[in-house]
Amino acid sequence: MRVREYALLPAIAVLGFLVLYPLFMVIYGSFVGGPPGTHAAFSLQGYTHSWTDAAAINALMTTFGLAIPRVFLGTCFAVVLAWIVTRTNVPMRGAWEMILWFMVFLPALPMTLSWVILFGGKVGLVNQLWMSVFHTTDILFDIRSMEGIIFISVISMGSFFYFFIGPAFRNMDASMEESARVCGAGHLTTLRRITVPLLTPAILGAALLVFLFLMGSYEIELVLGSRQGIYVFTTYIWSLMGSTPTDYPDAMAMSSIFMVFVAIVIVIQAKVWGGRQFITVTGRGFGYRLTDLGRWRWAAFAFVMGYFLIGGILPLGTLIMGTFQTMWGNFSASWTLDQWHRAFGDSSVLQSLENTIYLGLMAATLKVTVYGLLSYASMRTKLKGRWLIDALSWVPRAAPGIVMAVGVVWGVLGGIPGINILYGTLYLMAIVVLLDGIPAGMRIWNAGFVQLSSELEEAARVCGASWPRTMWKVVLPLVAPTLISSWLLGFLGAISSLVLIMFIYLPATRVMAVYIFELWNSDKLEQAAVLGLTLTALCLFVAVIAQYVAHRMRQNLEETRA
Amino acid sequence: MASRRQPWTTLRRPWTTLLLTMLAVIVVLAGCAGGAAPAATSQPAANTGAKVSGASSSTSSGATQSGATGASGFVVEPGKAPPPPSNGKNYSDAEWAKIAAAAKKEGTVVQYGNFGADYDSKLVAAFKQATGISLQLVSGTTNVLAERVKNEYRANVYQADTIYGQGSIEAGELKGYLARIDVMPEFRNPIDPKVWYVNPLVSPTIYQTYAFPHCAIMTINTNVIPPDKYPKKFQDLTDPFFKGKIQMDDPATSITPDTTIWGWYAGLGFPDWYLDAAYDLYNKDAGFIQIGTERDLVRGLTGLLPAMRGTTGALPEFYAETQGIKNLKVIQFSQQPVACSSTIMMGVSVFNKAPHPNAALVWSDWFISKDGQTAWTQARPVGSIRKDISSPIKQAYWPVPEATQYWNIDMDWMNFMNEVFAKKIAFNLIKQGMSRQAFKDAMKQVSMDHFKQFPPPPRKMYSADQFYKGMQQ
Repeated sequence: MRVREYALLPAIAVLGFLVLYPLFMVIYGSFVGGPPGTHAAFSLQGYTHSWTDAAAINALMTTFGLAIPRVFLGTCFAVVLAWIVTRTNVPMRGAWEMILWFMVFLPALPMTLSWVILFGGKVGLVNQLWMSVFHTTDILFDIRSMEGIIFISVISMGSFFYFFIGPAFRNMDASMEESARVCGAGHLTTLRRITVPLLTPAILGAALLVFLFLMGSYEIELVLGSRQGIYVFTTYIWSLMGSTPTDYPDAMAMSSIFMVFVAIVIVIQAKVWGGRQFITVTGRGFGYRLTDLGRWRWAAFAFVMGYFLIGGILPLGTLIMGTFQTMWGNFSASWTLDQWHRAFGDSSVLQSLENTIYLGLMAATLKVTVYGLLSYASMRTKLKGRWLIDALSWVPRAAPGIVMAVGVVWGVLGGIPGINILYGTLYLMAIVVLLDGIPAGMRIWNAGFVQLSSELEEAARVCGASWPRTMWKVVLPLVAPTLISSWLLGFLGAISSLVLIMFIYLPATRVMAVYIFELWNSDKLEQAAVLGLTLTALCLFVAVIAQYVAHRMRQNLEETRA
Repeated sequence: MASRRQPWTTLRRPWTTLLLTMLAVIVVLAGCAGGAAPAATSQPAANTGAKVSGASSSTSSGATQSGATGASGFVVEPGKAPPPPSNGKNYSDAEWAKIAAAAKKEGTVVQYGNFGADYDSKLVAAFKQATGISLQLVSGTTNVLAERVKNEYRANVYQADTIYGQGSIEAGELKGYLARIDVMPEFRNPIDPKVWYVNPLVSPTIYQTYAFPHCAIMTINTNVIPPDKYPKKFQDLTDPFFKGKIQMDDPATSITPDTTIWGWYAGLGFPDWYLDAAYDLYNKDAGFIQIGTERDLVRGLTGLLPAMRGTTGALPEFYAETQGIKNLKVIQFSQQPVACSSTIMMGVSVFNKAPHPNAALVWSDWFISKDGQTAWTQARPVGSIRKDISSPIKQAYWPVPEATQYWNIDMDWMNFMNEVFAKKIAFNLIKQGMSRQAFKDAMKQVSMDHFKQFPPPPRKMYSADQFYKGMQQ
C-alpha cells in the first residue's frame, strides 16, 4: 500500500508542473509585459493601470453582476429538473434523461448564434413576428443584453448542471426520502429537507464550479455583449489583447486580480465543505424507488417539455434552417443546399472533422483516466498531502482561459527548450484541454467518490480481494455513471474548446470549434451553421453510444444488487 | 485500516519539498529560456525543416544566407527568405519558372491573416487549379497573428509563409520579420493605366504587395432609410432619425472604426468642423452607433454604414448578384471631392523565414494577377486595384487614382496609423465614453499637427526601376 501511494507522487508532481507553469507565465507577463525572451523591462504599470481603469472595474462589476444571478437561477432550475427526471415518476422519464444528455451536447457558440437570429433586435425572427402580430414597433426581447446573457446561461446551465448532479440524485438512497414521507413530509418538504441537504456536496460543487466557469467564460458574452458595450472580465481582456498594439501588461495584471477572486471562492468552498459527511451509497444497499407525484406528474412533464422545446428544439431548429438558407434568417433570400455541398466538398472541413474526432477521443480518454486517479488519490486515500491535489486542481481556473492560453503558448514557445516540438499538434491540444478540464473533471469524480462509503472497499479487502480486483469489481461499477459522465464531459470539453486551441492550432490541425468561430468572426453564419450542426451531430452520436454503455452498466449493477 | 494510514503521517515534509521544488524548476527553466530566445532579424538564418504532426518546425543553425542560391540552385530551402532576382531588379522568366517549379514541389503556402475562413473560397480553389499549390489559412486579426508570429520566431518555429493585413502592422509590429518584396512578373509594368487603378508597388520600405484598397464610402439600406432622409452632408448623420441606425464594426476587435474616423477626416480634406461632427456622431452617449457587421445592414438592423473599407463600395452589387438583395445603395456626401476619397492598403507580405518560400512568392504574385483578382472579387464583396478583371460587380465605386492623392503611403503614414491605433480613440469614443475635449486633443495630437506641419505629398507612382532603386537606398 505504501509503495503504491508513493507512486502517485511523480504523477502529482507532473500535474503540478503542468498547471503551475502557464500560470507562472501569466504572473511573469503581468510584471514584464511580454513573454520570456523579449527583454522587456520590469514594470508595475499593468497593475497600477488596471486598478484605476474605470472600464476594467466596470467589467469586473459586470462579471459578478452576471455570474451571481446566473448561478442562483441556474442552480434552482437544475435541482428541480434533476429531481423530476431522476427521482419522480414523470411521464417519459427514461426519454428525458436521454434528452437532457442530448441538450448538454448542444455546442454553445452555434446555439448562441441561433438565439441571435431569433431574438436579435428588430431583425430577430420572433421579434419580427411579435411586431407583426401585435402591430407594434416594440420588440419582445433583445437577446443581446444582460438579460439575454442570463437567459441563455440559465437555459444551458440546466442541462449542464444536470450532468453534474444527475448521477448523485440517481445514486441517492431512497430509504431516507421514504422515511421522511412516512413521517408525514410532502414531496416538496422531502425535496427541501432531505434530498437537497443530502446532495449538498454535489449541488454546491456544481454551483461553485459553474460560478468559476462563468467567471472565465466568454463565448456567450462575446457574441451577445461585446458589440453592445457589455464587457465582462474575459471579453475586456480579449479586447486588450486584440488591441493594437497588444496590451499584455494590462491583460496579465487583470488576470492576476482575477486570481485573487478565484482564490477567495476556493477558500469559501473549502470552508463550506470542511468536515462534512455526505455518504449516500453504503454497504447496506440502497433503494432506487421513484416518488409518485400523482396528478402533478403532468405539471412536471410540462416543465421538462417546455425546457426541451425552448432550450433545445427552438435554437436547434433555427440552426438547421440556417444551413439551407443563402442568408440565415432572411426569408426573402433563396433556399439552397449549396452550404452543405461546399462544406463537405472541401478537404479542410473534412480534415477538421477528423481532427475533432481524434482530439475528442484522445482527450476524453486521457481526462477520465487522469482525473479519476487524481480524484481517487484525493478522496479515497489518506495521503497527507492530498490537499495539494485538490488545490492544484483549481489552478487552471485561476486565470481566464484566454490568458491561460497565452501562458501555454509562452510556456511552449518561449519556455523549456525542446518542447516547442509540440506546438501546433493535437497532442498539445489534448494536454491543454486536459489541464483546462481539471476543475470540472475532478469535481465530477469527487462527487462520485464522496458519496461512496469506504466500507464497500474494506469489505472486499476483508474478503481477500486485491486492490485492482476491488477497484474493478466494486469501485468501478459503483462509479460507472460518474465515469461515463466524466468521459462525455471530457469529450464535449475537448471538441468545443475554443479559447485554448485557437492560439496553438495550425491549418493541418484545425478543429471544428475553431472553424466555427472563424466563420462567425468572418460573418459567414450559414457556413458556421453547417459546421455547428455537424459538430452537434457528432456530439449526439457519441452521447448516444455512451448512454447505451451507461445503461448496460446500470443494468448489470442492478442485476448484481438483485 | 488505521495501521495502513500510519506511514503517511511522515509525508508532510516531502509534500512541502515537492511543491517548492516544482516552483523552483519552473522559475529556473523560464529564466533560462528568457536568455536563450533569439531576437528576430531581417536577415534570415539557414534552417532545416522538420515535420511534426502537421506542424513544420525549423531550427536555426546559426549560419547566414549568402546570395540567392540554395541547395537546389536558384530556389531556397525552407526557413529562408524567398530568393531575390539574380540581376537585382526583377525575375527573369527562367528564374520564375524555377521558383514556380519549386513552389509546386513545396505544395503548400500557409497564410496568416483575416481572409475569413474560406473553406469554400473560390480564391483557394482557383489558386490550387492555377498553380497546384494548396493555400492554407490561419484566421485572426492581424495584430493577434503578428503576436503569434513573434512568439513562434522567438522559439525558432516557423509556420507562416505570408500574412495578409493592413500594412501598418506589418510596417510596425512585424518590422524585421518580413522578406523584401522584389519585382515579380505581375509587377513588371505597375504604371500601365490599362491594368491598374493604383500602383501595386507600395514602397520599397514596406514589404507588402498592395492588393486591396479601402475607401470611405457611405452605404445605406433603402428599406430602412427613405429617400428624403438620405444624408447629403456628413453633419446630416447626426439627425435624431438616425439614432441606432448607423452601423459600425466593433472597435474592440476591428481597426475599421479607427480607419473610418480618420478616413472621413482625410477624405473630407481635414476640415475643422469635422472634429465636432465626428464627436456628435460617434460618442457613446449620442446613441447613433449600433455595433454590428455588414450583415446587420443588409438585413435591416441598421440603415447606414459610413465605413472605410474596400468591401463597402461593392456591397450593393455583390448582394444583388449573389443573393438577389437589391435594397442597398451607395451615396456620396456633397463634401466628398471624389467617390473614393481616401485609401489604406491591404495586401500580402512574405515572412523572411517562410517554410515554403517559393510557394509564398508564387502566391503573392498570383494574388495580384488577373486571375487572382478575379477570383478574389468573386469570393468576397471587395474592390480591386486592377481594371482588367472579370467580375460580376460593377466598378462604379472602386478607387480612382485621384483618391490616393491625400496620403503618401510610406513608412511615415504607417507610423502615423500605428499612433492612431495605439491611442484607441475609436474604442474609447464609441464604447467607453470620452469627453469632447479629450477626443479633439487626441485627434490633433496624432493627426492635425502632423498633417498641418507636414502636408502629405502626392503619392509616388513607382515604376519597376524606381522601385528597385528605392530598395537599394
